[in-house]
Amino acid sequence: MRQFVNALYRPSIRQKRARTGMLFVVPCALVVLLMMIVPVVRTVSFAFSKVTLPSFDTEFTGLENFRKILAMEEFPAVIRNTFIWVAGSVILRVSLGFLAAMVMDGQGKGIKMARLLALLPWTVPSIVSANSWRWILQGDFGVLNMVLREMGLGSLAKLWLGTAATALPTVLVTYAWAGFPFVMMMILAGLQGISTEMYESSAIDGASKIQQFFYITLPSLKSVIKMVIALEIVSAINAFDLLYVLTGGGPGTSSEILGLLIYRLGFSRFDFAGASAASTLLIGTALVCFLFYAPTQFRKKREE
Amino acid sequence: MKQMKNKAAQIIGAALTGILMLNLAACGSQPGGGASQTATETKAETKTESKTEGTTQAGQTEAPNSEAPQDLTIWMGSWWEDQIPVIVETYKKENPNVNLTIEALPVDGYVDKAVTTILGGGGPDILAVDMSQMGTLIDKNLLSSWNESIGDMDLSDFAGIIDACKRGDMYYGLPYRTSASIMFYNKTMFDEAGVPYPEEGWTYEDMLEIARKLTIPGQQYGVGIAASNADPSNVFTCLTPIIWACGADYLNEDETECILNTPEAIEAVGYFTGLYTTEKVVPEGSINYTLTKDVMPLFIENKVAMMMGGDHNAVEFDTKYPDLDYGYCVPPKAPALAGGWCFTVPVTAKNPEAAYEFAKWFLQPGVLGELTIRIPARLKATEYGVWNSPLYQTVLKSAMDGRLSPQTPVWTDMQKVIIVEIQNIMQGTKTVEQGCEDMTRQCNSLLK
Repeated sequence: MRQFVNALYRPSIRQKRARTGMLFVVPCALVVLLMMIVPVVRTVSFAFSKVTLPSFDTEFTGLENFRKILAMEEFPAVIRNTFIWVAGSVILRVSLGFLAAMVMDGQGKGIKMARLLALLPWTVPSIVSANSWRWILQGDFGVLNMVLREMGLGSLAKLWLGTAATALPTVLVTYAWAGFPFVMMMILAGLQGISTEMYESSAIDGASKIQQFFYITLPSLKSVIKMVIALEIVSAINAFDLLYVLTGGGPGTSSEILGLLIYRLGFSRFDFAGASAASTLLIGTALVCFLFYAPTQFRKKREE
Repeated sequence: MKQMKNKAAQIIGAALTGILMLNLAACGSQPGGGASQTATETKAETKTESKTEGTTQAGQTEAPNSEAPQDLTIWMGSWWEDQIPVIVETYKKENPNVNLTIEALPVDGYVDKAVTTILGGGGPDILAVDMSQMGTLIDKNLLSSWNESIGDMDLSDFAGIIDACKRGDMYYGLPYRTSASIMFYNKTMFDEAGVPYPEEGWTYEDMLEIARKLTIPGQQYGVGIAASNADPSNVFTCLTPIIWACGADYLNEDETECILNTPEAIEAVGYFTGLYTTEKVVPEGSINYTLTKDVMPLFIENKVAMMMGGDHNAVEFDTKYPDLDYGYCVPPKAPALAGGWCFTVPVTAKNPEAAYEFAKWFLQPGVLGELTIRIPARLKATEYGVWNSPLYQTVLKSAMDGRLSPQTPVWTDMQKVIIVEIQNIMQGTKTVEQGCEDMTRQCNSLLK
């Protein structure tokens, strides 16, 4: 009996190795987990409380903070702008990045230098690029309008950042410029991972370039594109600096998005409860989207 | 052999984990970050003065008195960077037992950074704060009271902005710098157009008349204004004197109600926005302009003839743009908007006693007059240093008649609301009356 119990509880070499591995992994995993979970829990708890500074004492207030946020006059405009901003930036960045990756996938002379140059917008600190764009887009004496006037296209010169109709789209373009190299690099890596044999055999079978693109390239890049879109959505939701420097959310509330609103609540008003409520709404929306998206994906995978 | 390898791996793993935990503990136990540690090490190693990225250390040299060494950290705006070694050196001579560290921080995000650090339990012993931020910081209980430490001080000759440091009878800081808006004019543009320079006693009607004469659409403009939410204080430097000149105000006397829908306020807002919408004497992009990033460069380039500013603008013109031919005068029909900076002691200060002592030392008229690089907030201090020059006397004159912006804790929010509505009026989505009515309603709901 004792032998049987010993045999049952004596760890195998594999188990021993797993334990050693755990010893290495657990401390870091704990730290990472804590760093991820604690802020989220704290944010959600602040969202339902009255927060007293500087001690961060909390007193449960139910949905009061949400009521205040939803009652803000600019809130509907902020939500609408946020959707436009997220959708616009994902579409622009991914399309630009995809196009650039297709161009940079060649083997021609100087392609490495071209790739390096294409990365430049991504390497410029955002505050520097924001101020440069601010001067380029200035209504009166900005470079863009001056060039347009010099070319005889004065009718196209606009107050790019000074009207409700153009402010958000203009910032979207600058935001796409700053971020497309990242998408380009990711997709380029994906493109270079596709086996050339697939193209060769499809060519022998008589597939055209367009067919190759739709039946080989695009399906092979599916997982990369999905990941890039997810990352770009997160990045767009968190965007703040370009908008803050270029328009400050204006004119009026035409370019105010949720990220800017949260910053203002948290760091101009020091209303951490309000900022947390707005953040919780954001997290909640993302979760709801995930809850709709995830089951369909699992079902699809099972079917495959 | 394999067992030994496993054992060795386990020992190394445990050791690495221990090191990791120790590192984390060390990071966690040092609010304020590694900078102060480096500073202490530097002090210990060199025992001399050193300066790194705007931070100057007064080394703990042979202390003549028997008091234990004390650490004192001060945060100030980045424009103090060149003056910091002089302040540290002077203070060190009188207080050799104090390890004084003055850090010069960029003004962008200055208060955010300070508040975040204070809420994290860190931060400096003295925090220099712009007057416009005092209301919010006091309201959020982030500052300590000064009453017990300044009982022996004569506060009678401090500039009027000292009121912004008070809540009731309680002082939460003392001002060291005062300022007031003055109007700068570009002499080159005035001379080319043959327009006489503005003189004291001029009105906003005179300003508009001059601006019309100096404006050539698309080429140059009579006056520069700011209306961007990216830098609200710039907007109110331009707008507030007009509001007051029209006999209007933002709030009623006890600051409980917004009164921006009165006929006087509507007239003032109409005048301000009219410069852009109907008169077109300001640059086309003004709706999104700040004074520092947009208007000032245009003024320097002879594209804008007049701009509101402070003494710091004159210092910048003189040092960086010696060819710029400019003049200055008090704004039309005072009162101007007065402002300034004050010393405060955050609730997390580790050495508040040394902080109060330093502030009291620095604010002595002689010391302040000689060491400050901006107009001192004490009248007696203007008898020292360079403060008798015509420029500073003009600013002082403006400051004497100047008034403070509202001190309510919701002023920051109100500023945003007012700017948004002003932008709505400027882009034609609302009339002046609608805009004023809407800003009043929103401000009143904030005040509740």
